[in-house]
Amino acid sequence: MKHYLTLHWQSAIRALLHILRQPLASLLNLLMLSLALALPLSLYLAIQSIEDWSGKLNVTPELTIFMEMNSEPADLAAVEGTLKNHPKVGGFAFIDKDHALEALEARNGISGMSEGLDGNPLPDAFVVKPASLQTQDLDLLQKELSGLPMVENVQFDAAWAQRLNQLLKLGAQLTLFLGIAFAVALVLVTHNTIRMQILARRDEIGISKLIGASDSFIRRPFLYHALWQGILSALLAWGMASYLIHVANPVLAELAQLYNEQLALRSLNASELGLLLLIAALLSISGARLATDHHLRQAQPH
Amino acid sequence: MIQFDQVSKRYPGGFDALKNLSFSIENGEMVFLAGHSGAGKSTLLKLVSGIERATSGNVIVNRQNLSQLRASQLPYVRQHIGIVFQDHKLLYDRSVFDNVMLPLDIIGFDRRDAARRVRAALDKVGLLNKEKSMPIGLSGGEQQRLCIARAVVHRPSILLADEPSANLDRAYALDIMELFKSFHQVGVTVLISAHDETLMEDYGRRIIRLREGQFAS
Repeated sequence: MKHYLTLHWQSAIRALLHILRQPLASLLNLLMLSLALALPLSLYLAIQSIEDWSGKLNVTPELTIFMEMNSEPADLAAVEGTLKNHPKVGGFAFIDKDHALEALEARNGISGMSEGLDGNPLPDAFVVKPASLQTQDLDLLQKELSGLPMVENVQFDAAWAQRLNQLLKLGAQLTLFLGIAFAVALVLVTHNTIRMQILARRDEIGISKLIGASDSFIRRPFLYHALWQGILSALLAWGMASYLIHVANPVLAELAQLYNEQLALRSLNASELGLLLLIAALLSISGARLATDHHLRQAQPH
Repeated sequence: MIQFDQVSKRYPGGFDALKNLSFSIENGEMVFLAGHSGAGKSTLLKLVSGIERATSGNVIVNRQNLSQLRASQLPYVRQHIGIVFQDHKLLYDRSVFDNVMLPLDIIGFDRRDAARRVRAALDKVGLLNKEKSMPIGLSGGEQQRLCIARAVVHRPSILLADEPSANLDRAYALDIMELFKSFHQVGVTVLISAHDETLMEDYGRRIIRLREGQFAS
């Protein structure tokens, strides 16, 4: 077992030295691979950051029903009854106009505002929590409630948040698609680099097989080469994304300031970085495995 | 021990290289394989080393029936055999030292002991002072001896040599034969093929004569 580990350790070190001995060629290769990783990675981070930010906002969509100014207690009871029995209503609260005015005065620090007014200008209102957050259901509910007697208006407070959520979903899907496309590219690029290496060392492989090298012995240096390549390019991609964030954040902060918001792109956390390294390593190794298996199937002797 | 039991080898295309051959070679024996080119000598050696597989019959080497082994197991059989190739099969982009190191790398020999083994093998064939040279700078005879050093560095129990004395003058060929004899004397089973029988007759060892894939009477 110790012997087996020693063999692997030697292969790993030799493969790393092989990469370091050809700095220019290796760097070009790594740049190509890391660009393929950096693109979906940056997009992922952007989406994640916006999602984190929007999660901090109050995005629970609520419908506010404003009653007519001259509505009677009986009308309020009728609306209340409808809301109680409606299957699409998750919950509701009644805000009578006197409380609403008090709250408004308290919030804005302008007590006594109503004294200068001719009576209370605010209507009675219900705040409704919908049971379903689907855009379709919300639209339908909004229409239905607007149709109730003595209802002036139904406002949908978080329509913009709903739209943002949809956009984020689209963005997440785009990230997934790009991620898969670039993952395939990573496998193919690795396959190609390893294939070139195999061709350059064809004689050595043939002779090694003749004097007793097993397939796994032949494969090992190439798999380790691909492993290092994958890990190094993932680290490079991480660096690129981090640099992008470093450059973009001050600009973004300025922009967000205009809307009195705080928005910043975040970098990868430890477990995400680990996952990135793992995925890059696995993809690279499978590319190398494809290339070596293809060659070994053709090479003589078996 | 090497044992052939009704072994035939037909190459793709229908050429019968060996026809129903049975014989055995004891442990520690030194045997010559004679016959013209195309008689089946190289094929026989390739069957012993598992480089080619028999079409029918059993090839038993070191108590393992190669005909029944999976293809993935054959390389491990070769790790116990030393092979001197007719065309040397040296790595021309590696030094003499690294060429001899290759079999030890393959069997995963401890690195520190390996360098000592490599130098011992090079010393045995008289190439110790050339360990840093590249094979391309060696003469034909030196390349042959480098190939022998590589074949014995991992101390195989069986040594196969395909026409080791071809293209060498007689004095040099005798040197090479003496080298093989010295391995035989330390217990290695040695099987050498050649088309020049005069050289083998001097040694008084068993000679297997082949003609068109069968024993020549």
